Amino acid sequence: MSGVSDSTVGSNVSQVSSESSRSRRRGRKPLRSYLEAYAFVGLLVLAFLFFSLWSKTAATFTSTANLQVLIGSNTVVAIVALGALIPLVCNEWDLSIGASATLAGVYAAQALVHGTTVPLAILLAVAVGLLVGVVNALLVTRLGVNAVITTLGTSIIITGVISLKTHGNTITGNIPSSLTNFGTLNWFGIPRPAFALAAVAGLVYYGLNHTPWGRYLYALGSNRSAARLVGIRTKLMIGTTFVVGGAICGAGGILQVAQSGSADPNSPLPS
Amino acid sequence: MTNNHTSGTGRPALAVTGATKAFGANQAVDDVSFELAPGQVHALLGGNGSGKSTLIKMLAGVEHADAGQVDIAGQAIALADMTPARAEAAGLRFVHQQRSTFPELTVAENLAIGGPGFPVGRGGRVHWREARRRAQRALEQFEIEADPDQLLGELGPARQAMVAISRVLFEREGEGVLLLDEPTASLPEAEVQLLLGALRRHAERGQTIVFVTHRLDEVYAVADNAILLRDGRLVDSVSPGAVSRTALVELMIGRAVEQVTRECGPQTGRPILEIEGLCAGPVGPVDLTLNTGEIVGVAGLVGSGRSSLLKAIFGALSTSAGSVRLDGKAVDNRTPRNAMRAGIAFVPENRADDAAFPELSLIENLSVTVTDKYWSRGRIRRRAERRDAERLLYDYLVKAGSLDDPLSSLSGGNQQKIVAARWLRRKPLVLLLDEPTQGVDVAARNEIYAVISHAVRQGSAALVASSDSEELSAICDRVIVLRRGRVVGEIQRGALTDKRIERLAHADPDEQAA
Repeated sequence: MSGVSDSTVGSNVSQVSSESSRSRRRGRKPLRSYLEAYAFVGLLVLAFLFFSLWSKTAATFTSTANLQVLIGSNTVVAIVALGALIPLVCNEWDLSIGASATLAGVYAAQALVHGTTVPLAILLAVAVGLLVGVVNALLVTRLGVNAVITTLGTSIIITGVISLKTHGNTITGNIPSSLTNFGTLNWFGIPRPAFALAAVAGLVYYGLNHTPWGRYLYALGSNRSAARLVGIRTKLMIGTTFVVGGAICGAGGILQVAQSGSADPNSPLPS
Repeated sequence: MTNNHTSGTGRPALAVTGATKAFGANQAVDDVSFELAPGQVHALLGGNGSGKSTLIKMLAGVEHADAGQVDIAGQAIALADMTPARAEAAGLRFVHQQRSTFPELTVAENLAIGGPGFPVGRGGRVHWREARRRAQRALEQFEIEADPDQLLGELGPARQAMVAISRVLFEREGEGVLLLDEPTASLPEAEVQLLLGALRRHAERGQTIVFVTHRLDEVYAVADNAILLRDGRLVDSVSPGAVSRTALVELMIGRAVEQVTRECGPQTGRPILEIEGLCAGPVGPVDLTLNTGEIVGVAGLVGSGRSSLLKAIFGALSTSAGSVRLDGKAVDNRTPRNAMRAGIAFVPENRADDAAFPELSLIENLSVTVTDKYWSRGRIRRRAERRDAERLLYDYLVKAGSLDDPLSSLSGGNQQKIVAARWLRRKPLVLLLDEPTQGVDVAARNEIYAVISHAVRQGSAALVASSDSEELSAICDRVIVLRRGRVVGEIQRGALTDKRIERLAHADPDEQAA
């Protein structure tokens, strides 16, 4: 490559190298883009501060019990949201996440009631979510149906399947305490499900930021056509996002069962 | 040498004073002031990162200026307050580099939106028939081969550009100032002439025109005045008639630039790419052999199949017949991934649509073709990646603030270098380049040519498709000319001139071209 430098460049080289030494320092994103990215978090922090400081709620809000409930009651939603995040990196919406999680919970709960061991039930839940993901993946990438329409459709179908299996009744009773203990008790004062959330979040973070797979997803999200032209297997990659997202929803489903000791077919999990 | 713009005709059509804009530490436009005489064609010339695109965007109100003022038609507007609406109201009409047309709408709709608007009747109802008639008139006036009801996206990029330009010129002649940002990028010679002719006619009718360009030919052909920017500052404002080409280039770049010409090397290479009977889309059947150490040009008019040929070889366009052999082995060119793994690289024509990852950082853009290389023991080796990216920026002389900046923060020419770098780092056997120097200034062009020559000397081969016959005649060992998807001729180094390429591209295959 030094062949380029000698012939036509001359003084430009020294100019560029002095500029490059400045560029060796990491670039700083402008304040505005940080504000944009973390605006929602900021809002949550503000709300948190408000309720902690407002005289009417200060005492109860900051009590351990309340914080535990706050964290505990939102972990399933958070996990399911992580499931939706992955296809979103590629600009694809997965609207079947709530239904998928509920379906996984229903299957797992039924299995548990009939005596399946807890580890197997967890695997079953993840598998159900994964399967839903595979169906979504095939419909979106092979048939080329728009993801919003596809996942909306699958969520409706899944709701029907849930109805079929449960006849509208909550599945309850006989859920092993080993599972429900995880769902309701604490470790070091923090609800145990939060650790599950941390684990899932950690995995998602690792996958998106530290693997080529994650890079390819961001490239796809940035410019799908260019991604194809640099050798990224577009259809396969997008397919995997639905599959992985679905698996995560499955995990969310079994966690829901752990927390409530039952599988409620009408539970308002978000889509 | 410097023009006195207000002599004779009185008030200038447009006066810019003290335009300034900085992106963080990068002073993109530094206190630029100039005046434009009315009824003339002014060329805004400058190298990569000289600030000309930024200046145009500031005038358009698309980029927020730090300081400056513009005087037009008796109004004085502070550049910091400029918005697209104000610019429009003041009489500034723009056709930007990133074309703001709508591929999913019809030609008629495109001519109306951003142009004279839809003809409406009572209650705001659109008179579609009238809209269609107007569109037809515009298409005829500008000799664009298109149908008012055709989707704009169906037209090639050249014709889309012409529609973009015609919508601002149509029915608005003589008013305000027309500003064009690289209007002829990716237009082949004939259409460039057509466009320049139209611009000249408009100027004669009293329209003031400013256009940004790299192509000195165009400046000499049509401009009355050339405004030179370098590193954000105004260097000079000269009349092309009074300045020689080399002097103009020197003013633009700030130093002398040697013209690159390909030395006639002995043909010792072995065949590396063999294409037989390739048919894909509008092109074919085509037979072609590339030898190592060769740079072969692909010329032809818009629609002749240049880009399609390259895309087909790379697997970006599905092949209906024929075979591709690389180094003797058959290549499965069904997908870009396969072609890539076999050792073929492809720099596409349309960078914005097909090559750039605008929000991703420079590092990520550079390593997207080799990400697996950095994947070891469960992590991406970020430091190695960064080091290699720095090396590439240095080698390719890319002017950038920081490696973590998004690609979109770079000038067009620098972006093109990044795209070239990401492929060349793989040391491909065959390099396919479609309009590699579009949007790149003279000095950077030479750098890119040097890069291609270097790669080819190491044992690969390059196939360069270009609408710029001069470029092809300067850098290629031989040029094949396509017409309507077939090869109509091949010109060897010894007989290679841009005129011959043009003639062959235009000629009827039955007539004999020289």
